[in-house]
Amino acid sequence: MRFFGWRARFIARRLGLLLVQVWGIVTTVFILIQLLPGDPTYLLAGGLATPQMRVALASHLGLNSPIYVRYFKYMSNVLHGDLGTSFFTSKPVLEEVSRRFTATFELITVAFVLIIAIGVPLGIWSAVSKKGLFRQLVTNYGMVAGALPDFWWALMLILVFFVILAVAPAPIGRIDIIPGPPQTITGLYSLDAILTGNVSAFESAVGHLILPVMTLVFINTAGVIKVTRTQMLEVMDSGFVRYAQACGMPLSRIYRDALRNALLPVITYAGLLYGFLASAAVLVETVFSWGGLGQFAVSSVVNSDYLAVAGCVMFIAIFALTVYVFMDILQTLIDPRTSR
Amino acid sequence: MASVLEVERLVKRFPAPGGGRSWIQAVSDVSFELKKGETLGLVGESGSGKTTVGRCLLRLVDPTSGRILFQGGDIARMSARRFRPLRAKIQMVFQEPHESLDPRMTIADAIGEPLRLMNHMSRAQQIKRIVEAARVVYLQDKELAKYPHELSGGQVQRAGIARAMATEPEVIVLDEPTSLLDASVRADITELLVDLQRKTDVTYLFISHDLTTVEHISHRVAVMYLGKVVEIGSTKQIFETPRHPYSRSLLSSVLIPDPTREHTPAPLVGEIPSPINLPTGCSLHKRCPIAIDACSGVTPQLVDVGNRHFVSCIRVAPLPSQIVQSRQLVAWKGPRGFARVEEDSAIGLSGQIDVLSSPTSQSKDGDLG
Amino acid sequence: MVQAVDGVSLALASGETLGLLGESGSGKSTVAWSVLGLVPPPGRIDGGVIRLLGSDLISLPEEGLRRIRGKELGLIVQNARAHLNPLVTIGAQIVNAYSSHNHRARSDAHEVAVDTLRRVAIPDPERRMKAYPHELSGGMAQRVMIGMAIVNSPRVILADEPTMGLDVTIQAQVLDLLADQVRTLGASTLLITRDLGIVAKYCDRVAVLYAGQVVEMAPVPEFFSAPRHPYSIALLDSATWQYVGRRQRPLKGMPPDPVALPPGCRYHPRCPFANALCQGTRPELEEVTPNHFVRCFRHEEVARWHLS
Repeated sequence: MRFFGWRARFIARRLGLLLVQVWGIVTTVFILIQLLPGDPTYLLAGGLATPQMRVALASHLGLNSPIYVRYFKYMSNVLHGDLGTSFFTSKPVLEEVSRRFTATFELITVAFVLIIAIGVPLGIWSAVSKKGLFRQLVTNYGMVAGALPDFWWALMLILVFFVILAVAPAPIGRIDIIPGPPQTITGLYSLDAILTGNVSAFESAVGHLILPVMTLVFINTAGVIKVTRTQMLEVMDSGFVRYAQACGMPLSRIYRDALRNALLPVITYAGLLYGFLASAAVLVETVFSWGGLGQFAVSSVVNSDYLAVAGCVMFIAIFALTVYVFMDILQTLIDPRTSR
Repeated sequence: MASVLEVERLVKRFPAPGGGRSWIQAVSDVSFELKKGETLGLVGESGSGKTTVGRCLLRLVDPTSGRILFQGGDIARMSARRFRPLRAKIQMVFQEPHESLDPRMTIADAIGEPLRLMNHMSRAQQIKRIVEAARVVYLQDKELAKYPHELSGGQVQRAGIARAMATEPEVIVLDEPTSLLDASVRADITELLVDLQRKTDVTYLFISHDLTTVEHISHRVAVMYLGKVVEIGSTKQIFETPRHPYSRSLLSSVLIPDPTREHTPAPLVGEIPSPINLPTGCSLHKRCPIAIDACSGVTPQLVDVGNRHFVSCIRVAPLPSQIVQSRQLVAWKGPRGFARVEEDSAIGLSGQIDVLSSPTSQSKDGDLG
Repeated sequence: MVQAVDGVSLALASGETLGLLGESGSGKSTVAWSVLGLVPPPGRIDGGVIRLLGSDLISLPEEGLRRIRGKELGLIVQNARAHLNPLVTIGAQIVNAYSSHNHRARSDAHEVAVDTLRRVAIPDPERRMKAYPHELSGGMAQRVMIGMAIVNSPRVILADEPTMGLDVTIQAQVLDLLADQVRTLGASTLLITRDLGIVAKYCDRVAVLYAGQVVEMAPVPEFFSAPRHPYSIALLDSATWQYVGRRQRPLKGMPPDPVALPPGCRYHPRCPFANALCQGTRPELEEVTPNHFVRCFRHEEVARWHLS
């Protein structure tokens, strides 16, 4: 139980901090909404409304109440899951945003897992291996992957695998019209298909995932490889590795222990990457008609659908913060030096 | 000899890491005085608080309580604005030569920096002062244009000394100025400091754990342990006849480069305790070879044992309101190879314990009634 | 190509402690790591022989070397906390050091580790096994390192400034502990230091290193009473002047840049005895009295001067 003593307290404190941060996000969103210019009654009531109708609408909506009343109302709405109604789609914002969010979440999570599973071992290997050829390949790959924009890579992959080779499905979204999405449990098509035993939906969902995931993986793995490699090299050069060698420890054993040291900063990097992907996947989402969160946020901005925009902002921010909390906790479990 | 700076009952506490209500008592009730043209050596190990004392004098750290009398005022509580003009008069030389000089400034710029910030001198006057300062520390002109990384540790430390001397201060606090230097360079720098003092009558507070250098350069020495001064006296008194058990242990640990001398250290048991949870009574009692039960209850005070040699230990220097109780024979072999056999006038305890004399008051008060 | 260490020959008799004395830039740390074959690239061992109990270490393949490191050869370095893995408990690290050379059950190795902590006077050893390096004081970390070096009862211990940066009373504790363990093991020790006080108390013989070369090597009492190299005299002078009251021959200048070594004797630019011969020709290490070696053309005059 010694392992958990102060760590448990740290985790509890960190989660508490998360709640405070989330509250801060929601409040900030509220302030931003208030700062938006223009009178929402114009949009809501329509072009034919008379001024009296708009005034009535305003008082009906509570737009004339003092700010703390509006704030309180807003907060209680949010806590009840009511984020307002989208002007554009006329559906509740929470419903629209969470649907898009699960689409993005499925995409970036699969991509993230692959990025780490491929990038970290490659990074370690390129640091440890003596062959120069491999290192050269990795370096060149890094340069190439970073130089060309992601939507270009996406289009190239579509060209090669869909148009030319005809092995990938059309980039029309997350799933084919037939068989259609499986019964909704989590909102993640591939997972729901497994859970409901829907084989055809599963095949379709996975098929559609392949190209966009490949694009994201291809672009972002280079960074992970580089960071892992750098950290590994640094650790291999450190005092304690040299001393372990002086004690006659076998090299494989030393490196195995040193992995923990090397991967500590990689965890931070990975966390930032994952949080960032939530919004950064927007171009890939657009090319593949994914119906993801970034895509929706952009179109909401274009349509001045400010409640939807607020909803997107909230989701993305809370997602990122949650990821950071996980990374902090993970770090604390590994590193005994984090302050108590 | 005039007193240039007086420290009275200096206290500095830091909040302990990890929050909570614990404090690190870095400095507890320290008093001493600096006389013009003299050096007070401040010795002690990790956690003794000697570095913190130096920092308090320069207000790099704000004292928790106590007074520091300098240039007619109490600088411990002075506002930053009022203290600013006084900074020219009290300067510091640091331990790590390459870290205390800005690596992006040439030596000349580094030496002249305090002049730019403090005095209102013309550019020409500043340059003249820089060159003078450099000459006084035996830095050659060509070295003035170089950067710290191009020079050796010894040369950079000379630059640090020149920088401290540039404003013609009354007091220089030196915090381990020679610890990281090789022996030959250490000797050079020490000689230089002695030389400078002779020429300019500047006063030094020499903080160090290098006892041999301290012995050479200091007129008076104060020994600190866990934030308190446990013994203070002339250099001769401290090094030849140390009375406090800690001082004796410390001095006996010094290794003399002479294989014919037998080295018999008188170590204390255990390690230095954490400054957060200080033992009650005398901070040394758990490790002390002559501790008795009373030591854990009574906090010792500095008492004059003759000729302004003060010791803070109820066994060695009993307070006046204490009575003789038991006797014990103590034999010590000092660092010079002298054997001393003493009969400790051991004590018991009773009633009030008055603070008899502090090192800053006139010694005629040192009457052990 | 810079020669950090040039032609250093040292011989350690069984059970003796040889002090290697040198200031910054003398190349003394390189010697320790070289013996272990762990000079960091791009440095490498360019020649010479390192013989341990008969076999030449330089010609040994990597696996052979690994078996000797930590078993026959123990290493102790300064600043122990920087040389221990901060994410692993000290107990686990000692166990690792032990089980790299002994294939025994986990519980056995654990017992050995606890016992090692006891041998190096760490209080409450069972509990301390789970401590992390950053939780230890400097002195304690140094003792843990001593433990790691002696756990496999080595024949030779290399100690590179093991008490650098420690408080003076802790220094005494650590060195006494090391001397004690060395005596118990009957091991030979190479004690690298720049402190003449340490040499005086703990070493049987001493070798002085300057600019990558051994310039004098002698038994300790003879070194202190009758040194024969000008650099040795300068070192002794710097260390003892506070007792004598004045400096006899202050040492000016800096050690030479290894990239641009002076011709002839490497010490001659700073040497008060240097003459034309010293400037042009390289002196060799010669045995001038039994077991006393000097690398200096003018050692006779130097000895005479010192005695006066």
